[in-house]
Amino acid sequence: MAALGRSERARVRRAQAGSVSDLEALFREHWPRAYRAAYLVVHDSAAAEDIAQEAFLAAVRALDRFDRRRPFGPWLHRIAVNRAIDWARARSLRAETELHEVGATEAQQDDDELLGELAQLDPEQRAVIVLRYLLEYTPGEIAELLELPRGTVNSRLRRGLDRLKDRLE
Amino acid sequence: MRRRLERIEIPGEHDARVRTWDVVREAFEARERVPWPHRHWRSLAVAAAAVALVAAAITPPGQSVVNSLRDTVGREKVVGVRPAHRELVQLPAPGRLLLSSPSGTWVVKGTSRRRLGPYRMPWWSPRGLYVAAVRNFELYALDPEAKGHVRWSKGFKRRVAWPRWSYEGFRIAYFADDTLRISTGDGEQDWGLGSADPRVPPAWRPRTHEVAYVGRNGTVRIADADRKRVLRRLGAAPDVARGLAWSDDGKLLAVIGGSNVRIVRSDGRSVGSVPTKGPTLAAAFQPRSHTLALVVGPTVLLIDGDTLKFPDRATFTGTTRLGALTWSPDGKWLLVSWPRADQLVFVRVGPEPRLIAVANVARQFDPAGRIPRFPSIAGWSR
Repeated sequence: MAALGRSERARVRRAQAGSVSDLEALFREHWPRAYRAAYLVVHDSAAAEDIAQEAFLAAVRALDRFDRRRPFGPWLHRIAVNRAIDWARARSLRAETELHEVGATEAQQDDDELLGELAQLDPEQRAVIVLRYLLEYTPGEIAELLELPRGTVNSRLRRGLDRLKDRLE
Repeated sequence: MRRRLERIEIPGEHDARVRTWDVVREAFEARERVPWPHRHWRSLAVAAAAVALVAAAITPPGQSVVNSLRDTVGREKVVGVRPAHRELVQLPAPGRLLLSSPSGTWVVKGTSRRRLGPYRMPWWSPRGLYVAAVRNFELYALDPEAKGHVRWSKGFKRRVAWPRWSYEGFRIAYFADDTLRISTGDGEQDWGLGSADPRVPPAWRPRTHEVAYVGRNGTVRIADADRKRVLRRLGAAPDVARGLAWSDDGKLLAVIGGSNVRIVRSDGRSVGSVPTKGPTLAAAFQPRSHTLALVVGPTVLLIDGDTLKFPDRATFTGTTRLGALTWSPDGKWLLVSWPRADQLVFVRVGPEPRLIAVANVARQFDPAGRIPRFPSIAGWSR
């Protein structure tokens, strides 16, 4: 883990010095999870692309000022997830439905079901579930990322999971 | 749970990754590196403060300390155009110049230089009768001929920015946080158009009530302000839009990206897009023409908006990056700001080119500042 942190710090340092290949390595490592996290919160692939792109562009803009002692991932995830929550909140004010493809396999149906049930949760509950179970942050870290009290994070997690369990059972 | 969340198929993920990487790489390559002193300003500030304290104890404090701090934060002045006038005493072409500095909004007319008040982001009304400006949570219409008398003002709960008058002065577009709003020119009525990127000022299409702006997702939109309807969304741009400029006849819209300029016709059809091979800092169409003046790094270029043809020679080249630009109302002169040289540079274009530079600009428009800051150019009106 420490070695991983060191190699990431080295990549950030070289990217700050102008290395495109190191920026690309950071992109390869972090974009898929930022994009997936955004998608699971907003349930719209175009919006998730915009959000993950904006998060990376914000990272590029602030790269020279980035404190290398801090890990890159949480910083990026915080931008992406907070923007995704804002987007999902705005979206929930104007109801839209999405088309789903037919003829999916059983595994895909399972995944669609999970996705559909996630969509029934509030954006804030979705965000904490994604941060906890996809990005594997601890509740304390989620509280820090979203600038929330830890109790709020725990209650959102518990309520979100209860609702998912009820629906998926 | 994690496995299931990771297994969920996202349509078009690969294409999205390719597209995003292209945009991110381009932004990375076009970014302007923050100089070393800026990246390490905290430690430098502590060191500079310590040095200043010692210096104050053993040498006369004051200007020398200010200068050393100024050098430390990397704002040393570069040599600009020589010879340069020591003061802006007269504009080389008719009209009035509007500038904004930390000390407020200024109007230069004839031989006078007048401060209208502590307003920001000023903008001329179409015939130069009024100036729209903001101060924190208020939008103002000021009378520049009556020492900045406030014609009307409106307060908001949100921070307002970038007021822009429509062609005949009957509408003002502005941002309230990240919402684009429209006010009638007398300030009586007001309505929202939608969320937008508040970093890019809106641009009215001349002779219409259509306004171009950048949406939250970075796409450029043209909306009918009166009918509150988006008329056109321009396709994905190769670069994040940083500025918008219409030609005088309202037929061409220039979308200025970080290292790219794109020209679009008013019906949304693209004329083309060209990389500028450097940071694009400002652009403005010449009055009554489709010639676009472009500031790219230290260079001013005039390109043909209909063909996107670049000239063989630059109109003006400095030694460091330039700032904003504006055209004189008669379209014969270009005013370019050069903050690092502390100069305003007037360039006459056409068959008899000429260059006039004015130095010591920051001190003239921020006279009370301990470290005077260079003003931004807001416009040159009749």
